[in-house]
Amino acid sequence: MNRISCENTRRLMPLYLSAELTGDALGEFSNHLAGCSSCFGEVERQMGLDRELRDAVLSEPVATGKTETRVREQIRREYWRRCALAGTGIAAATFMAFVTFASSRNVGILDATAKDHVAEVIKGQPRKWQAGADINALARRAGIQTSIPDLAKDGYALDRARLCKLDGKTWLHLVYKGPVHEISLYLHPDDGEGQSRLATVDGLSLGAFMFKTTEASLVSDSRDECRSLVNELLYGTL
Amino acid sequence: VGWSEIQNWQETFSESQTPLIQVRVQKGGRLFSPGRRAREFERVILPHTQGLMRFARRLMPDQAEDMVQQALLLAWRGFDRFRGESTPRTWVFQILVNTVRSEARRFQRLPVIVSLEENDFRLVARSSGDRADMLWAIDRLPDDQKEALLLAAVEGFTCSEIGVILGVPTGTVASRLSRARSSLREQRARVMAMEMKRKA
Repeated sequence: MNRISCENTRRLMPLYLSAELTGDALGEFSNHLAGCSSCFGEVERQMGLDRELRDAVLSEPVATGKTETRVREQIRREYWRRCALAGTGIAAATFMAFVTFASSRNVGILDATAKDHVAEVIKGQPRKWQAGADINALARRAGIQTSIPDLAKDGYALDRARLCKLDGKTWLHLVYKGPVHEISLYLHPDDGEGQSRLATVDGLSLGAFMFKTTEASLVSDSRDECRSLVNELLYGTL
Repeated sequence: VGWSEIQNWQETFSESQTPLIQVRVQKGGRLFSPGRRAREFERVILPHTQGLMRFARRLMPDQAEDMVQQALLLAWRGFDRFRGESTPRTWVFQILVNTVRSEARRFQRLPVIVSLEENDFRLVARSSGDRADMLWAIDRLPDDQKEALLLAAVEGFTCSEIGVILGVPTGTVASRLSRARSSLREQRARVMAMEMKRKA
């Protein structure tokens, strides 16, 4: 005896045709078909109709070559655009890394010169200094090609100098006597990044810059004094 | 007509579905380098172009190529986001259906010139024969029924897969299919009656 009605069988027919009826539902459906010639005939008609439809649609030639070619071309263009974007990203990241590295180097030397100035000039720890004409000889030994800056017209007289090792490099440390206090100017043969930078470390004002072809770092107690001297050394008539 | 025939038919249509990508996708994250991505797309998605074109042609005869191209490019751009929740074939058909629908919505906003003769079977120039009659009949079904029937009968999708593609529950797909099959039969009967009348 059929447990499901013809109406329910018709409702389940699409699921039966797509092989999605399973378990008890499939069992009941099959039992109904076995005992109901009307529903069995309907399944056959629907399958036949689907087959005819499939044959009719598949009999039409489908040309996909042009579409596939266009899609491949577009994909290739987008691929290269992505590569270009990735390349730009890498270049930008490299540039940022370089800038960070360069500024970290700058910070390193500013910090080192500030500490050296405190120890040798402010605290006056005993050091072997050179003065007068010996300073030029010292500059040559340090490989400094540019002439020693003369800050006399700004009220700073060159007092003494010595060679010191800072941040792994040999620097010429020049001490100028000013109207109020002494300033330090550190020079090193060119391998700097050409960046100018002003900073404050432990209450001292510092300027890192390129003086002609020489890497320079100036240390002063006064921020205004530091700025004006760096500007003068960079752009002035010294 | 037996159970095994239905199953064989389903298996034939399932051959092109590639489980490999699903396994990779299910691991999550970005899977392919750009070159590898293009190769995978070529392997997994492009083989379905013919089916997509067949389907699109019945829905939008004049714009089928554009629709398929647009759908494939959308699939390419979203290939990284494909999570393997359905088969790649179901996924790309779903994209095509959405593309066609949004184009149809855009098209509906434009003024349409309708020929009164177009729907008259006797006045439309067409080739005769069973296959031509069948194509003429399917083209005249409402879009929702036509979509479901083409996906089931021609492309071999199951009701649940069609539900994913069309964005409706499986029960709705089943009732659309029932209506589509009976409408198609009626349309064909009408065509055949007219053909016989014409010959007589």
